[in-house]
Amino acid sequence: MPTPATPRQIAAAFSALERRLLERRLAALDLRTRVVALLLALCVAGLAYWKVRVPLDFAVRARGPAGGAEWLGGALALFALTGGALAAWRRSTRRVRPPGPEWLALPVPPALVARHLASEARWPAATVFAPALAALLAGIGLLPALWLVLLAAGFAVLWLEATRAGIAWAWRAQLAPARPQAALPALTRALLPPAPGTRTRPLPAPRWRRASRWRAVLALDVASSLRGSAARARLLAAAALFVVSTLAWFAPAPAVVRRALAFAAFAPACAALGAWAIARTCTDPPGAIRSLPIGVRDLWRARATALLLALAVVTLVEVGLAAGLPAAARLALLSWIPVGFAVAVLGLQQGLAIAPRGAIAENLYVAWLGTAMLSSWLVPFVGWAVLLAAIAHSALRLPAWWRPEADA
Amino acid sequence: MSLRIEDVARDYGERRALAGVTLAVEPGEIVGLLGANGAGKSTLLRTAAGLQPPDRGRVEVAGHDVWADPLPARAALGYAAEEPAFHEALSPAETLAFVAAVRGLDPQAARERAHALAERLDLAARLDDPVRGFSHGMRKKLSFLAAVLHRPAALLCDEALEGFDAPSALAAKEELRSLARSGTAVLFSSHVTETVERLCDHVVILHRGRVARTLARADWGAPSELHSPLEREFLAVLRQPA
Repeated sequence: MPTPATPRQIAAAFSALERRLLERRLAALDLRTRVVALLLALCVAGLAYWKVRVPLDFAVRARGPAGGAEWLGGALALFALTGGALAAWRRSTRRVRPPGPEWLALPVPPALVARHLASEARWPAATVFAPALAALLAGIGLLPALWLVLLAAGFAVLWLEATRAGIAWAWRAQLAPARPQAALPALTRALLPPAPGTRTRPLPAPRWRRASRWRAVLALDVASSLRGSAARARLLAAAALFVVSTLAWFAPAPAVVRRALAFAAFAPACAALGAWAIARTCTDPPGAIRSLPIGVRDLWRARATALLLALAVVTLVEVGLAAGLPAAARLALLSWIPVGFAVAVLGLQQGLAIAPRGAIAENLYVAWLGTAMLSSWLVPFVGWAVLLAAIAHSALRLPAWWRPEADA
Repeated sequence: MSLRIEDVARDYGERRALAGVTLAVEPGEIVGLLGANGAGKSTLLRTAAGLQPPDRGRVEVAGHDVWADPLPARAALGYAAEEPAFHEALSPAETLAFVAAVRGLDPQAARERAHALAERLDLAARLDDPVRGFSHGMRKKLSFLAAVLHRPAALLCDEALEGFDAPSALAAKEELRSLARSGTAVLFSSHVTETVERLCDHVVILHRGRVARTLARADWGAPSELHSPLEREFLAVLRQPA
């Protein structure tokens, strides 16, 4: 019988695994994607630098270096907390079937598996390093160098703790549904795959009917999205945000404020719809879809129709609730339909262009939307130019759907 | 010619999976594709099915280039995958209804054919269960069913009967023979020589990404029955009344 590996050897094996995974992921990005990602990072960093430098200068002049450090610390804390939220999001989107080998069959202490999965979940959280670094650079010349070093160390610690807390929250959310194996360790329960055949209740018999290809895809999307799937989770998030958006019209505030609150929830709801479109597109099994006479046009049309219908229904409800606004302003709310569609259709097109690599598509989608938001925050309406450029760019890449990567 | 593969080449980085494969399958013919693991069988079938582009060469199905003219080519094609994947939340009936709709089949006729085939493949009792809980063999049966539902002009079977129990395998082989009689060109990939020698009219042996040899049925003295003596005994036991 072979000697069991020591914890140190296992930890070394995990380090090697993570190093190789990183190498493979970098190698999987083509040159264009790398350039786009680098440009996005530079853009975000540049915007963050500008947005931090000016108010930091004001803070130092008004309240001295201590006041400036306090202001910069707050900004860095915000970035670290955003990192924690991103880590929680990544962990929870991977919770149904944790990627990797059959962890439970390996003689590895659960704590090491948990640490590895946590490090996997931290990758998206690392995206906040670009604006955080830019914010620290913005402090050069305004704050003493030692203070900047201390603030950087504080950011690193807070980022680690925030991501740790975010991942722990995601694990807890995964364990929330009652499972019969309650006596098993928490991580083991979390890693258990759903037992095959546990759902014995038959599904309703389908209606066999003649339909055009895109309508058949639309029906497939409805059925898939209503049952347990990544798409359903994103659809539920969109629905919840739409509900919040409509509830905003009942807030005890002036009508203009209510409109701003409603839009503040409407916009992320549209982004969640875009994420739904990515999930639907990238979870279509290639073998089951690409061998059928379905084209990218059918998929785009089916999903764009679903997005447009959802946005139209919600916006009409918003118009109906916006009683306090003048008639012209209420009518202007209809412009939320094309606005929301632009946000959501970018997700659809990213998904189609990069399918079936859903994680990459979703990361790029978030990066584009983030850049657009930052741009608008900096210079009003510039975000729309960014968004339209992203839509045009992804539209040009739609023909890539026809030629998927062999190993994707 | 229902299926023509011309000079198809494909590399995976430094490794050459296919080095210019040319073969053709006439209507009504079942051609076996034999090869060791890694010989390039699955790569060839995935390329022919439009799932991964070739580096060179072309694939034609019923006169349509799979990569230049994909929709008509895919309409004429059926593909039973080696590792089938489905929408896990859907049932086989929902999956097949979707396949029938996008293929433009008559709904009633497609439904009847799907149920009849499912009955023969011992899948009828699970038609309304979610695919999520299916075993590998059941997924392979569903993949086969979806591939033959429209009686394609050309059918690609990638280890299609692997994981089938004996009665279902026999039913599937009978269906393949029946399709061939009605004009379907079948390219049947397998590493199980016994199935190939009983089922196929011709055999192409793929070795290191090349066609190493082509054999006609007369070359190997093919048995006429679809099942082996051991299978016959096994089937006799299974068919005994309870």
